[in-house]
Amino acid sequence: MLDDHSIRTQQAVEACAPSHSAADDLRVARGALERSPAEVEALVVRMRGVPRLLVALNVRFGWPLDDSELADVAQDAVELAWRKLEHFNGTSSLETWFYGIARFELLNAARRKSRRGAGRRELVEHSRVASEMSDSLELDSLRTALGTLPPDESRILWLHYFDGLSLADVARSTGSAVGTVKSRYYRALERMRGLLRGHAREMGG
Amino acid sequence: MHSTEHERWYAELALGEHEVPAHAVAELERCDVCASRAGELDSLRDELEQAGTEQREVLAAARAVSSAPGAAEAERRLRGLIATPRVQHRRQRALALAAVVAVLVGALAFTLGRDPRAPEDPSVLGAGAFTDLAPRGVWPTAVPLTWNYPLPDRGSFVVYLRLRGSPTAFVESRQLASPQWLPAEEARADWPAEFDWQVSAFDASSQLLKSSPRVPVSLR
Repeated sequence: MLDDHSIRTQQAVEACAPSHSAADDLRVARGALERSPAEVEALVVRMRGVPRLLVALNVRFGWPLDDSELADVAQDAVELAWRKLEHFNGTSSLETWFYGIARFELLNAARRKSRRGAGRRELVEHSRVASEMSDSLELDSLRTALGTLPPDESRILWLHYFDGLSLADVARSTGSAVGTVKSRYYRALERMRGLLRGHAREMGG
Repeated sequence: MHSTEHERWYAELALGEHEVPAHAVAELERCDVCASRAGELDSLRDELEQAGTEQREVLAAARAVSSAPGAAEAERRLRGLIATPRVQHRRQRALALAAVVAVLVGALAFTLGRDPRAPEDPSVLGAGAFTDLAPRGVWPTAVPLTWNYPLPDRGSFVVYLRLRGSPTAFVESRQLASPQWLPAEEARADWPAEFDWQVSAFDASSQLLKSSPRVPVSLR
């Protein structure tokens, strides 16, 4: 018999696995916004993965935050996810969407901490983290550009690159012909290339 | 030299869908436009691959995390946010919507209520006042519209006729040097039986000085 803690742990682990369909995720998001009890509960369960995601991200970026800071970021990330939920359009999975928010919040908190200043040892440590974060900022602009593509094109890139599906699997998952998926994939890449080139020009790159 | 043929080969090559002849690949490599485009596309694919890999690895690592700081507090926070009465959001939205509607209605009323050629009362320092507007009520045939106004040197008047409540003039007089206007008799045949008349005063540079109140009249 599983106790409450074990059930929550199991749910949080499952919440980190992007195994739900886009239609399910959109239904959960919209239902939760309408305060439908079943969807609210489903959303709460799915969001239990966010604090774990933050721990994993914190490890990935070289422990820029301590536990109490991480706990604060968890609350901020969950709040931001809830407030932005109406913008979730189902082109990516909820987990991918939460991931973007968690990553953004964690890196922001790490940057704020870095700016506040610290002791010499921590500064050395922070400069290493800052360099990793600089690369990760590039990935943020990539995510932003992805969000501006037409939904049928961005969905293909999310599924292919972020959920790791082959284009044939993307076709099966979206119920489209492989040829259609391939041409949308190509169009999406070309469109993103143009967007990022414009972004680079704006940044003086 | 870049060509439309390159576009087709390039797309086929990017999709890996068809065999692109070796001479075409060589030509694409020699083309500056295609080479730079291919370089950008390759680095974009690398970045997407990197972002996707990072996410999959972090999600996998997150599944192995046994406990996370602040998890319980975050859930309480989320439940608190969800429990915030929806009516409060609706009320805020309704207030915001009402404010927008009020602004739009105001702007619409302002736009409809004014004729760009004859605003009711522009704020011109020293502009005088119209008096003795006549006739009021019935406008008999062969009787001119008359008024009094201290017109500056080389100034002019223009009379506007409007249907009741309409912002648009259906008749506009020529520029008048004296404070009266008598339209041609035959023109009146096409006019409605009842309408308002209004006169505006302009300075030498055709800047509006003042418009009179609207005067309701009916034709006889």
